[in-house]
Amino acid sequence: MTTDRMVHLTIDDQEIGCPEGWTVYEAATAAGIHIPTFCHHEKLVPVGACRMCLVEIEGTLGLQTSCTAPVREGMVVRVHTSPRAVEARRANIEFLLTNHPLDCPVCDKGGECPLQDQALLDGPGNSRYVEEKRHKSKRYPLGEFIVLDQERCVLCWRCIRFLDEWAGDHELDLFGRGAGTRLTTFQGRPLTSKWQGNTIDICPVGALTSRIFRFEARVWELTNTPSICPLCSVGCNTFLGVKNNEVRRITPRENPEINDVWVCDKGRFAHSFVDHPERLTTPLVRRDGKLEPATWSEALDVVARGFKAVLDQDGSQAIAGLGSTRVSNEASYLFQRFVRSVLQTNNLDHLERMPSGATPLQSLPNLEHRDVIVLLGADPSTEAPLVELWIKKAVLRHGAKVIVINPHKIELSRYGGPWLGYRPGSGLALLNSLMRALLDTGLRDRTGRATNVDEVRAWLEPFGPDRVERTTGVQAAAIRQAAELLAQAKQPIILYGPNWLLEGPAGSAALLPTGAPSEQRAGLVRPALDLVANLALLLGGVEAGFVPWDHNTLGALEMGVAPDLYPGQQPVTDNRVRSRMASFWGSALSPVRGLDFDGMMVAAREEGLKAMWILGADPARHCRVAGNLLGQIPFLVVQDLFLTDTASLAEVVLPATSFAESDGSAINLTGRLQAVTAAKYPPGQARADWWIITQLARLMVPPKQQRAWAFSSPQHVLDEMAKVLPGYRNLDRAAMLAGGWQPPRPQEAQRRVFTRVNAVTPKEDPEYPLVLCTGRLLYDRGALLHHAEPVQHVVPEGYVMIHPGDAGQYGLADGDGVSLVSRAGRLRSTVRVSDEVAPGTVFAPLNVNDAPLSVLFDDRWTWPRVQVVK
Amino acid sequence: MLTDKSKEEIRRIRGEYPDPDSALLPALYLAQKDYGGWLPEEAIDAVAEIMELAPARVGAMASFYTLFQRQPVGRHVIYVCTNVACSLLGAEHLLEYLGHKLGVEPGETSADGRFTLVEVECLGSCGTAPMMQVDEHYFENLTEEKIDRILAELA
Amino acid sequence: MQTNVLLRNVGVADSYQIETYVQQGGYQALAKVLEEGQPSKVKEVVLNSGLRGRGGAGFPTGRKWMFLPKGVYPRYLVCNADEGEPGTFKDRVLMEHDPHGVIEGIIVSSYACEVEHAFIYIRGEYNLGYQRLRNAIDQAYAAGFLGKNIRGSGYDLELSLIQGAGAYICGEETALLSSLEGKRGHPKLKPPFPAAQGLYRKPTIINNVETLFNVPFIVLNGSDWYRQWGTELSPGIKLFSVSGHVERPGVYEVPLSTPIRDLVYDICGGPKDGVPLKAIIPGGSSTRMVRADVAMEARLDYEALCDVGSDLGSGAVIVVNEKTCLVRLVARLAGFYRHESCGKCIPCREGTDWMYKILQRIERGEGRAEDLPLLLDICNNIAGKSFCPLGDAAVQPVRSSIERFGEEYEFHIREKRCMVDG
Ligand SMILES: Cc1cc2nc3c(=O)[nH]c(=O)nc-3n(C[C@H](O)[C@H](O)[C@H](O)COP(=O)(O)O)c2cc1C
Ligand code: SF4
Ligand code: FES
Repeated sequence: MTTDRMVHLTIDDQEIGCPEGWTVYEAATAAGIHIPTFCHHEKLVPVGACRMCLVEIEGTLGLQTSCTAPVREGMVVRVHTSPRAVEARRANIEFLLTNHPLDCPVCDKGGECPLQDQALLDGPGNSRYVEEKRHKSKRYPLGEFIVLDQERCVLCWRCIRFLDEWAGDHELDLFGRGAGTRLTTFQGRPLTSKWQGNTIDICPVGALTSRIFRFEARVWELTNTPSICPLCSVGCNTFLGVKNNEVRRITPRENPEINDVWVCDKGRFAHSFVDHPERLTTPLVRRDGKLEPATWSEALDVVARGFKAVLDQDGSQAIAGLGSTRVSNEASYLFQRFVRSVLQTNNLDHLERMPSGATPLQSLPNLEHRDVIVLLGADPSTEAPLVELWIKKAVLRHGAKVIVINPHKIELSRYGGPWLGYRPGSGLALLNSLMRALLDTGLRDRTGRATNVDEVRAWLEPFGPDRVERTTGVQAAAIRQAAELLAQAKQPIILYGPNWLLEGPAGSAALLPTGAPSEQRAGLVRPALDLVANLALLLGGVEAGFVPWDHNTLGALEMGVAPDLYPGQQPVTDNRVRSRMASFWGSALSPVRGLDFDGMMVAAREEGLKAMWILGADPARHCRVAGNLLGQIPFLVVQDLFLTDTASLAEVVLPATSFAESDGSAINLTGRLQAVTAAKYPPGQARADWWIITQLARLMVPPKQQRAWAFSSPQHVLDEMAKVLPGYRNLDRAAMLAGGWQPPRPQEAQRRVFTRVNAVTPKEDPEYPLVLCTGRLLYDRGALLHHAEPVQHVVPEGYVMIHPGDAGQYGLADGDGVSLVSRAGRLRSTVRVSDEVAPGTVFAPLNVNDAPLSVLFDDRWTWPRVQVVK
Repeated sequence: MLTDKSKEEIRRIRGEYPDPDSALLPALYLAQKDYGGWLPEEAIDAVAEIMELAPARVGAMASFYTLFQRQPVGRHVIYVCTNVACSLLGAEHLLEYLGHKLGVEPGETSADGRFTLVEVECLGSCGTAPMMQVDEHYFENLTEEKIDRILAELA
Repeated sequence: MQTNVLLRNVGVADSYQIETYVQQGGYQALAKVLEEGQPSKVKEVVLNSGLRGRGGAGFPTGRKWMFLPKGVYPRYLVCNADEGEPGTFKDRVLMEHDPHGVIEGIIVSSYACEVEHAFIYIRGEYNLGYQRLRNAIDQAYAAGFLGKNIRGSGYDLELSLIQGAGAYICGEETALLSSLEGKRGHPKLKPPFPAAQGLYRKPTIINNVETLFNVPFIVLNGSDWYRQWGTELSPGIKLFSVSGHVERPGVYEVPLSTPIRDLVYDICGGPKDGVPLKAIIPGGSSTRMVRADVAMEARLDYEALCDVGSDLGSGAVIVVNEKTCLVRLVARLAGFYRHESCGKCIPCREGTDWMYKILQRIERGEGRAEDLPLLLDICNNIAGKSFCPLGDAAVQPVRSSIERFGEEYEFHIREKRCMVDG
């Protein structure tokens, strides 16, 4: 409850001013006066339990806990100048040490342990305790990630409170009481919270330590380099702790705009892919049908010659580049520059693309102040965990409500908000219906800024909640309840994810026949976007933010790794823009819109695509059809960390560096530009993407263009980006390194008009009666995690979740082994019967078993219809 | 298993309080009855589910209070107070006597599974000390003979 | 010397049934306040009576009620029936024999404080008291003394009865609230005080059974009537639980300021078997023990007991004769506090454990000369440093016995055996 009013007080004879609402502890700390604490943690609600922070406050009886005492005007506080308080704190340490083990030399916390520091600073020199120490469990694993030493625990409640107050995962607690109190989980059950790693950081002693880091190193042997987590679109700020050129530990780095002081367990524990023995350490070139090690100059030479040959014989339209949502901006920027200026083509794309009409979320911390949060085909808990943490803050501290619109239940459904579990393909109808229900609540006054409300009313006529019940599978009552919540919301927000975009093609009236031009197919995400915009407008112009899956999804788009967009999302068809780019890059540029990924695959099928360079992507794994087509491309070059499914099809494989091995930048889901710093050397001959691209360009461009490729570091690339990208002129590198730099957001024209979106019911197919929808789990066997041993233990076996009603109808029981069959293929799986999936729908998580779900898809824009057979 | 009757009762009590969590104490009592005088892991899970609370929260709660047993107990539980007033009038001696008679140390259950002997703090019978509680009943102004009689009458 | 106000129904046949209670003049105070319809007047008369809390701390009840923030509802009232202080058994007598008296006290007080939901938190072991109260509450609902629109007055009150489960700390008011909210019985931070933010974070009045039991009498007879007994600062009548080495232990009702000697010798029949007395613990185990000769010159009121270096506490007079080993007795009490410490704060959790271990060692004959100063030091380091008053309470028997009966400890340490038992 900080206000603007200032309060003046004296602490240890020092006069201090601080805002009203602060505690004495905060005031003292801000003034550089150290007060020891155990239970207090700045991110947790104070409890005043440990009594370590006792101070004397003039005019009050007895000593007070400074962590809970609010400052008052004229207050006189004594911390180190009060013999009574000093003695009380000394005695408290003495009390603690009576039963604390003396195993500092083998304790992982040694060197960063507040108790150790405190004992040295204030503690009694020798012990007066001659009784036997209490014995409790030592080295007691609480699941895969954390080990507990109960003897070291000082019962400060920090871990319990963090899991409770922030994560809403009440898994740790105190058992027994008094001197016999023990911290543990119920019956020693493994911790499951995805936030458990944070308890290691906030534990003031070595009671909770990392099983992953255990005995890896003493903390003072680590070099900690500031970095960014590459595993989701949030981009949590971290430190990489490196010893002997290996990443041993990841800890969060405070950034109030992004991850505060936390990081999810995936980000913390899944780093061993960096140092995995299967990392590519040398270029590979196919000789006699086999990929064999080669030197860089050999490999680059083969690539340069291969590309040149295709350019000479088939022209630039026969070449394409597929970029990545995971590599740095610098890599993406150079990659598209290379493809456009050296290969002379706009055949350029990346998978998991953010539609250019989508708007990024504006701020993470602001989520805390939203009262109703709509999650539309987005599951932050698995896709972008930190987003979940901020949402939980809104729920747990301020009672916010979460409306989940998703074919299956997600973790954030647990707060009792409405779950609109629709059948995939009926999402557009559902959203129309929700709008119709909203209008029925009489929310007219909110729509003041819209010009065509009455029209909307007419369009939405056929979408009464009762009428869509059958097609969507969503109860009318749930729709009305959600509408009611939204109608009363003061600060609602809509978050939507990649899965929502698939509702466009599936549920749109404008369904295209298969084989239609790919751009047109890609354009089919429009209706899904339009509906989001409609809903936001109906609620009074509220924010709707896209939550992508991948680390640098925004960067890939912003850097122009797209067939139709230059960096800064400037259209390639704009002559002025093109001539500007051409002069920057010292080369003529193709005015023709390029092929997107689907187009490339069509071209491959038609044997029009002769060469392709794939950077940090594995389409063969994600789509079996694509894999087959890639195999038909005569000259395929793949650049990656591992020998992926795609890489094994290539003629040349180039070993790249991971995020831990090269400098660069990335753009997170709120559009923040953040610096990633190299923390170690790459394994073997692996090289940074920017270096590889630059080298190849130098081999290929004529002498007079060599200067245009004279980059000697990623910083040089960034210099050019700052000139090329609109709004980047004021790029503040210091800010980018510190907490991220926010490029100016493009001024969006405020929408005032509703767009009509017709929704059709997808045709039933009696032979394949169910719709498959997929989604991510937090821990899976995806490209990087697959090589992160510790998290592999918590990845479940593949399963297919089916509603009890459907299970009954098809004679399936929990645990049955089944085949999932679609028109495209079949896959073995295990049944999970659950009412957490909409009727008529089955849910299967991506990337959990070895046989990928991609075999069931016949194109990547529509959910396949399936049958489940025993 | 938690009986349907108990479940019903817990639901009712949840509605009686401004905050349903307040029903946790009575819920644990009901569960303890249903599970034969103690709270096995399964009982805690059952209570957690119906109370819509985390099992850790419920287990931690149960472990705080001495009247909730987390170990199996005998058919009857005998609580002997050895706090000041009772102790001044010979409670320790009676505890020893009982232990001897049942062949157990405090905290243990007799071999025939009939009795669990527990040493407890003041039960508010100081004016009629020494005393013991057997299940829900107080027996006061105890002597060895009285104890013999009481035990004999218990099934 | 004994009065017969509070205990007037004890010993009456079927005293716990509503008919008996009404026959004895029960629910008159309720009728009176409902008729007058002025909650503030009730508060005033309680304030003027000078009634002090009987739970142990002796805080003036009327003043506590005045702390309720104006205009903040709902408000709750909690009747503290956890009675766990060793030596105390007075509330039990009231609840078992006069449950309607307890209930009437709660209703009248709730009315005064404009409370809409009241709670009785009774310790788990008091099964008979629980059943009697359960029965009485049902009767009171049926008779229209509880529930909606009580006796046509428009006043609504719900009364819930909840059983604790064996934790002394839950007698401490904020720990009690935690327990009532379905949590482990840890005390809560003060401020905010319960009157401002208590149960479910709403304004809450917490009073002891006996405190509330007094209220109907005060309401019926006025504050001057109540002040005919006791002193200016300790007015009225009080129940004393007498235990230990006396001929007739039990609960007695006497005016405050009655000499201890009168209670012990005249009312309770003097020392058991004529064995001379050594020490008196006048207010329950959490109050300092006093040499018997000093105690016999003192009176039973808040000020006088303070003058002899102790407290009235919950009015539990524990009488200890010469044949008792004090080291053993104190070790036993230290064991109690160690067992009952909730474990939230370091000084109490670790300090009580440490003290207990040292005292046991001394008793075993393994004491060291440095143990007594060490014990006193530990006492100093707990007292005033712990989260709640349990820590302070735990120190009292240890410190007062070392200060006042040091020779017994010294003998134990020196001779490695007990001065009394040999
Ligand atoms: C450790 C501890 C135990 C307590 N136990 C009881 C108790 O059993 N009964 C009681 O009425 N008050 C008990 N109290 C006092 C309560 O905290 C509180 O002051 C009292 O219930 C207020 O009521 P009163 O003002 O009517 O006395 C205890 C206090 C402490 C610190
Ligand atoms: S003094 Fe501390 S440990 Fe003891 S009961 Fe109070 S809070 Fe709990
Ligand atoms: S830090 Fe203040 S009491 Fe623990």
